[in-house]
Amino acid sequence: MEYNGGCVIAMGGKNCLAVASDLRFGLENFTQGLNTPKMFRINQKMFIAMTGLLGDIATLKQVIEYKLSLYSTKESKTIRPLILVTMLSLFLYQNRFSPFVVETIVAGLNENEKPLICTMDVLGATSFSSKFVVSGTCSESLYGICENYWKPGMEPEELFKTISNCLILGSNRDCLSGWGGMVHIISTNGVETKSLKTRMD
Amino acid sequence: MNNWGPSTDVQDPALGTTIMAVEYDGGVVMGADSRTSTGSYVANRVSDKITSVADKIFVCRSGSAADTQAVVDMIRLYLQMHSLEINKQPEVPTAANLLNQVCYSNKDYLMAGMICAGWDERNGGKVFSVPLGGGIFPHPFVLGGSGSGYIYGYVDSNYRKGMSKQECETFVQNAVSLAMWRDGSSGGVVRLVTISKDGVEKQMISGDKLPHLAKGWCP
Repeated sequence: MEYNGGCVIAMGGKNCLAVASDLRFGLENFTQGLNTPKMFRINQKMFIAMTGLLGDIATLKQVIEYKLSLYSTKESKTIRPLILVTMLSLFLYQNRFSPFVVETIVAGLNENEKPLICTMDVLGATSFSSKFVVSGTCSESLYGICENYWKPGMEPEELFKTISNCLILGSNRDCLSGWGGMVHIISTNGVETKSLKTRMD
Repeated sequence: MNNWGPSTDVQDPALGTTIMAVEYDGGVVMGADSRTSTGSYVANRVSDKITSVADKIFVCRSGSAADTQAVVDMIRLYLQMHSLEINKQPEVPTAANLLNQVCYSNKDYLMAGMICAGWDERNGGKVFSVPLGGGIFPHPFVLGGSGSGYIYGYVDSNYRKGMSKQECETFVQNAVSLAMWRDGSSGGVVRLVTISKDGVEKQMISGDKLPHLAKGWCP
């Protein structure tokens, strides 16, 4: 889990949500690349974000894309966040004895515009939250930071500022995270993507 | 790592940090980053790794923070007593040899890689490397710590003998910031200490004031 490093936060606001990750691609201490976000867009209203072994993250992303395209062909509709969570959780548990070394976060807006955010451990155990979820090498720090700064009913602008601050604060104290940041803000108007300028050390 | 040895606050045995010292025409410039990490957590982001052992002799420390602090404290005591005995300021080779004696005799117990540099009347500016396990190696420039690996190319191609003070400070600052750019265990601010006949000058260059050398490809 600590080989590549990285961190991800997802936060819920008022009929909107935001997902943020750092951009570092590391090999233990060495920083190989500076533009590897760990978030992947599923559809207009949903993102999946993962931390852990980057090889497994890439593989899992392809597996999810495959399963989703099968789903949308069979069911003739786009998947709902809760169904994706269940599907992923079952899939991760199928590898109970040789797990994907990733911690997944699913973040999506339901039909009623309410955000759904959930985190899963390596074996697919789900943990839902209405506030925020975090994952990564600095997750302990991030829990404390987000607990402090999150408040209910934030609009997209304020949510963006809060999540950016939390990501920067957390990754500044972590040797294996940082080197840039990216935030996706998902609301009824669509998805807005912003890059963060951070310390590059 | 064995479990009866000293507890270290660096998991990475390559000594998470970047330190260097370079001779120039008239003295030495020492540089270091400011990150102390406990595993992957940054325990101190403004640490001072360049410690004085005499008025004009400083030591760059890398490795276990506890070990290097203890060793440097001992050297400082010995140098003070020695300087009283000879009734003069201590010399840089003396300090480096003392470091070597402590590090070599206790090599099984210590994890300390150090660079000793300074200015004295007889030798001028001098830099010595005292790596893990001891040994004493004089060089015109020395790099140390895990971040040093990433800047050997830069240093090899840019070092010139007999640089001016300004050129040398820029050289060290650039090298350390390049190491901080790539090494996960180096970061924070760049600390520079310039030692010459005229005295000791300490500088701290914070992250936003560092040169952004990678701007050709990374905005």
